[in-house]
Amino acid sequence: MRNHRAQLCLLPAIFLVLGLSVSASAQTKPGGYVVQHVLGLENIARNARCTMNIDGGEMRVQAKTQEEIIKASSIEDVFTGADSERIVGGTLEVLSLAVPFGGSRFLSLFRRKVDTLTLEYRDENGALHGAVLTMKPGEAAEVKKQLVAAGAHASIPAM
Amino acid sequence: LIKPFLRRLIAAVPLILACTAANLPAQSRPSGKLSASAIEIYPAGSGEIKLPPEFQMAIYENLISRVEKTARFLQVFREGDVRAEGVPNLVVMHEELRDFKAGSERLRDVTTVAGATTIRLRLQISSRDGRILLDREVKGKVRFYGANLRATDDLAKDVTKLIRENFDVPWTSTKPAAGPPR
Repeated sequence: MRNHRAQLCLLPAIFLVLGLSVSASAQTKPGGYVVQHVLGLENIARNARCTMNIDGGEMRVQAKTQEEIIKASSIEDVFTGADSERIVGGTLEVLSLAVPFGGSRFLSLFRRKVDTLTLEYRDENGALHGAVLTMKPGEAAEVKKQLVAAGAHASIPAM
Repeated sequence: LIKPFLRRLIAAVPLILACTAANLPAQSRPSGKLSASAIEIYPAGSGEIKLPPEFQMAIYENLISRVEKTARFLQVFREGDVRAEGVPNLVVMHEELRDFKAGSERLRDVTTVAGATTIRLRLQISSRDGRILLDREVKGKVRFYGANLRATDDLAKDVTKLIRENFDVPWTSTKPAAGPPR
């Protein structure tokens, strides 16, 4: 009986610790965000899978061999949005077109939700650049918050 | 004494013509096409029609990369680039959104006939002093296969075609020392 009481008393403490760890992970992501570069970053190929980190007032996007660094203070606007993409994509998507009896159409029904992040920034010459990235649902808002905290401007405030 | 002089004069005629044509303003080119050494591209203004920001930036970025590939301009500048200020014979490209219809990739995949994404822009290329050299409407669409943003690349292709039809290849082959701006 005493054991049960002790366990019950421990429960709020356990929930508190769990809650704190969840909120901490929402603020910073140690490994960085896994993003897909749609277009705009000059040093990175289109549709490349990258890792994004925001640290020291900079946004660093790293692909396998390429890297792009953007100063947060040079970002003029950040927009977030939602979209969806086919689960079966890339080469398999093209190959699936050959599947008979509308197999490709059937496969196209399986989609995953993605967040889109659109950036407007200026380089050292004042030239305007735009970049579009996609990431897991819910992450774009987090990234926007971090960018704004690092010095980026946003016409629509981060939620 | 006169014959060698005449021969030299005749031989020099194409060279003189080429040199003068290179310095003539855009409309006076012998081919009837326009010519400019550089272009500055501005992002599309959407006005009252709502254009998602990812589409606006995709149009801008695709336009820049496609126009660079046409090789009709020695330099392609982005909006706000300070290096564009002193460049002679520079033209400016402005775009204004006329129509935007966001389609659905899923609907396109399933039905083939529905869910197309279409973008219609009014494209203006003018000289630095505001004289309009080209004023056309361009369209981009994705009808059967691909993501919605592919419409922006289709639109950039349409612009490229328009530029190739209306602009001459630059007469001088000397590239700027700094290279094309990025």
